Amino acid sequence: MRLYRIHIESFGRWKHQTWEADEKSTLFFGWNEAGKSTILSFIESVFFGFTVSTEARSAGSLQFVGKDGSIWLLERRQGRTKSGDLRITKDGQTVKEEEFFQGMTRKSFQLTCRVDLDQLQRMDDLSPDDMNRMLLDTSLAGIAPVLQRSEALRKEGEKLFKPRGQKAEANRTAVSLDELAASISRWEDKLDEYKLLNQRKDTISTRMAQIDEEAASLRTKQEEAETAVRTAALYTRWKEEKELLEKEPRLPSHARREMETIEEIIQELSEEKAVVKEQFPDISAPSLTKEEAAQLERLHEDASHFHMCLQQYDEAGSELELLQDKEEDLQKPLPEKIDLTVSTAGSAAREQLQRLFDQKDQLKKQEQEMEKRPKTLPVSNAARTVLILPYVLLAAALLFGDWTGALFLAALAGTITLLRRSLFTFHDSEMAGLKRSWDQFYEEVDEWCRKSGLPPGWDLTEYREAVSMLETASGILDQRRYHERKRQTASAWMDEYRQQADAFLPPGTSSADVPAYVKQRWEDSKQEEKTFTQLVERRDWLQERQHEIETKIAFREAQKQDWLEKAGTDEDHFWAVVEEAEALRERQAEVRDIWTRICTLIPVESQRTRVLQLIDEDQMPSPENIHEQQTALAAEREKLVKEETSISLSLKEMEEEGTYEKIRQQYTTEKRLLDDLLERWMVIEAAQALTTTLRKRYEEEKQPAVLQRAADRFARMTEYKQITAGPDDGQFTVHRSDGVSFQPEELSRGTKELLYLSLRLALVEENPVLPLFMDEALVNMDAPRRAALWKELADLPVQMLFFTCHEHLQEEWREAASGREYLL
Amino acid sequence: MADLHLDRPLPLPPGLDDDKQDWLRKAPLRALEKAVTAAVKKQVDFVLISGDIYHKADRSVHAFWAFRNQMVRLSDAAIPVYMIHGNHDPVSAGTNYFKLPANVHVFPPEGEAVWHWTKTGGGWIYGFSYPEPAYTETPYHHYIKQHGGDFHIALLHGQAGSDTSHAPYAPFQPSELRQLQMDYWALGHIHQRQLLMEDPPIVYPGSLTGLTRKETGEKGVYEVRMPSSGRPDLYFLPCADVLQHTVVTSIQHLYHMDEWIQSVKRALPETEAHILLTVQVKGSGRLHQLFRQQREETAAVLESELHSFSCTLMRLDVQTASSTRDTNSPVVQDILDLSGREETRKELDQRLEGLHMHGSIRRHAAFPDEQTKEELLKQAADELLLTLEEEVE
Repeated sequence: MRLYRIHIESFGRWKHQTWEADEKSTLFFGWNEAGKSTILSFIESVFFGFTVSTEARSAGSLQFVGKDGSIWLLERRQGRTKSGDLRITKDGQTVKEEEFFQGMTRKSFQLTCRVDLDQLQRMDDLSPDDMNRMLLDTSLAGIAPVLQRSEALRKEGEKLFKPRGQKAEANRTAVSLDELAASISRWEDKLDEYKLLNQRKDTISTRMAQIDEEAASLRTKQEEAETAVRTAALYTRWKEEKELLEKEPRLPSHARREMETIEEIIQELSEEKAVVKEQFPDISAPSLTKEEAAQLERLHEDASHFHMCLQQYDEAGSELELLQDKEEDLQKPLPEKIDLTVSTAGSAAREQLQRLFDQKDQLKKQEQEMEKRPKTLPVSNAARTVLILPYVLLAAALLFGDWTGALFLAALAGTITLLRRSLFTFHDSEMAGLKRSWDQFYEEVDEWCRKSGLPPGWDLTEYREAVSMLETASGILDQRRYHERKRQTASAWMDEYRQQADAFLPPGTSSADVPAYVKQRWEDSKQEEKTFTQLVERRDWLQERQHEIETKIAFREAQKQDWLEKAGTDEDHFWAVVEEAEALRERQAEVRDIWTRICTLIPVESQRTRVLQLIDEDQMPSPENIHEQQTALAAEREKLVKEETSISLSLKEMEEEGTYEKIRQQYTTEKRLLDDLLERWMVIEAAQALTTTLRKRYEEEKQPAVLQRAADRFARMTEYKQITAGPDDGQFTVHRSDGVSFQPEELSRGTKELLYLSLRLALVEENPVLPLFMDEALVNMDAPRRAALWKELADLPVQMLFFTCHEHLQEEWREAASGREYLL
Repeated sequence: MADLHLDRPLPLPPGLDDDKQDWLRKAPLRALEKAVTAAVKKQVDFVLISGDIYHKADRSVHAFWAFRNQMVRLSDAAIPVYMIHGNHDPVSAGTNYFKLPANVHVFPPEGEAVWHWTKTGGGWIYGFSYPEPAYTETPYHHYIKQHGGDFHIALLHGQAGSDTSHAPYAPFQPSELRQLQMDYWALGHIHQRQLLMEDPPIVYPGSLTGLTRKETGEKGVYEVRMPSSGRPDLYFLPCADVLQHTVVTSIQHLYHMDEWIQSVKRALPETEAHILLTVQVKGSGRLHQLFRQQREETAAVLESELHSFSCTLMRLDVQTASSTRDTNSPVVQDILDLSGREETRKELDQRLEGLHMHGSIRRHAAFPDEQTKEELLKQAADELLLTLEEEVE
């Protein structure tokens, strides 16, 4: 494939530049920064992608001519990606990249088609092994990049794991896992003991309870021994005197007190009996008999009624006197012919009199009407009444003794009479009828007077006055009769009362004083009766009391006799017996007191029994022995407490902290790390295995031809005849024509570079897919070697592009290669 | 509830601080506490636990202590507990470190039916505990339906016959369980929540916490309400405050790492629980080389980007494939060819002998089987082909 044209649309300093390459050799000459390397970098970028920022918007194309004359266009343009999109066309038709590159990659390109100063200079920095490997890899043609990758993986793998190392990551992780596994194992042992520890804890608890019991028992023994010592003297005395307790005193302890009390009571009762006897009262009979007393009681009860009668009597007398005065006052203005006491004018007479008044008024009205008429002057009753009125008033004035008024009225009546007579003369006929009415009226008046007991001939008004007086007089008379009856009744009752009370009154007692005397006499009687009753009651009580005292004395005497019988003696020797019993009782109390003190010292009966038994048997334990046992128990207990605490902590740790689970988690995590590391390591080892077999295949199938071709070129350029690579160790060796062999590192720098270039040229010749790009590759060589190399390059059937800034190389190229030359 | 595995360690990534590691490790204990709190709050009639309370029952002292404390809480609330032991905590493991409170009834290995009184009557509860870690008999004979009772509930720690993801412990067929005429089957052993049958309900509540990266999703317990007639109603109560979640991403058509990170963020579930995140990266594309060569750095970047989420990156599982596999480059073809050759396998075996030679590694690491070696060589080929990949930024 021959490069025909380079077109940079935009890349670095170049914009829209085109260069056409010679079919054999092209030189780009320019000083530093002229853009040589940019062109070379552009070509590599079109092949395998730009590496500069997308902001540069790099773009351009390369045009190739195939062996068959086909035109290949590679066009790359930065777009979404930094590397840019590559489009390859063959004769205008888009084709796959692989069809052009045939497996060529950037690295394989750099290791085969591109020779630059850096690659050559790098050889100086390599170790002998690395240099050998580089030469070998170079000799292995297309797998060189693979071998490089494999080498990088190998180094990575060494960091991951080494079968015999300790520092690699997996090795360290495995050691860590060992430690975690050991920790897990310890924990598992511990957890396996969990139940045993629980059982042991229970056992310890049980044993500690036993120890506590034993310690308590020892303390008890110790206390009992000490108590036995304190109690022994008392207990011995108690045993000596306890027989006294079996004796029974002849008299109980209260015999003295009882007997003394009985005698004291008998004495007191006898004295009381004498006093009672002296207190009997003298009692005399009351002055009134029962009947008299009852009579006096009734009189006393009626005394208030007597007072009332007396009052009524007096009041009636006063009322009668007043009525007498009223009657007399009423009688005075009446004519003597009217006896108020006999007149019968009552309510019927009053009513009848009223009718007469009405009748009279009617008649007077008729008279007045007659006097008003022209011929006949009608005179009404009212007029008539007016005419009569002066007469009536005159009569009244005379009756009441008003003489001035009487004169005036008499004159008036005379005048009226004259007037009436002149009036009536005109009405005689009608007046005759009226006169009859009047006559009839006066007859009725007379009749009324007769019935009423009043004298006839009075004016009706007078009659009305008289009737009113008669009615008043009648009321007075009724009242007088009532008071007279009342006075008579009171007088009669008082007379009877006085008659009954006379026996209780002093002679000459006035009626008004009777009730007071009766009351006094009744109170005296009551006081006398009360005194008598009290004396009787007192006498009865004293009699009863006297009987009670006598009964009590008898009872006490009987008790006294009982005590004497209990003592079995008479009264004279009783107190000696009492004193004997009391003495016995006092000694018994002392014995009991000793026992009480023992009980106070040893309150618990079971303990007391054991202590007294110890005293009886004289087997009190040794305090030293007890102390020794106590010390041993305390030590054992302390040990058990520590063990229990330790176990409890362990159990708590197992139960609550979850340490075992935490370690297992750590182990799982570390294990995963180890698995990941080893997986990666195994992939790398697999890559190494694959590389090994790949290398073998290439060593067997392709390397010999490459080596042979390289050896031929190397021999032409130097005095060395042969290049070999060891079949087992791959050791690269060059053999000089004089038979001396050298390792690559033993060669001079220029010779090493020629050796490397021989291999590279052989590879390009082996697979001439792309042109060979030489970037200052000859700079470090001396002139003879450069001349030899130029000669070899001239024979190489591959298109070449040279890049240099050295004029001598420019000159040498012109002489050795010639072709198209660009000065930048 | 079932499969508490209270003391099971989590496969946590290295580098977590101790506090976080402890907090994550105690997730099952917290989930149990939350479940018990819910039971007390709801004043349930009783609590059923279908086995595997402990993961390493022979030494689960701490887990047992914590479990007992929760049982005491239920006891204080007068809530009975019926439980069985499973393959992880069989009776032979001796889990009787402490005496459980009287409200807890543990079914014996020979099985029994227990009468439970309710306010309106009562019913039968059946179950049996594993005597040994391995119990491979069919369990039907333990569930003889009793006469009477308002309900019949069975506890079983076992494996449905069609499920081959676990060892066949107490294998059963759901159709056979139905023949036993229970009203409800409370199952344990399978950690993934599933309803084997609706009538009667044959239910795996799943593990109480997501303990491995396969046990994804919300974890908790079922609240079952049994009407006087008709099917029981099931309500799932999430209890775990930590959940496993796997995000599978592809780098195909991705040009930048940012795009991939956003795709991971988008795939995170909306939950209040802390997420234990496993991220799988698959496909081939421009980011392949980056993931392969800078996996640790990429994981660190992702962790940093997920900082605002309550999340722990458990594993970045890179399974990207090289695009150069499809090229006809002689070198690529040689590598791929040789990765499957016996001579390469033998070369690998020789190199792996170093593992066997190392005592500590031998104790803690599992050695790869043939299938694993094949996978190793495949990954190795990808590693070598990386050098042929186009470089990306």
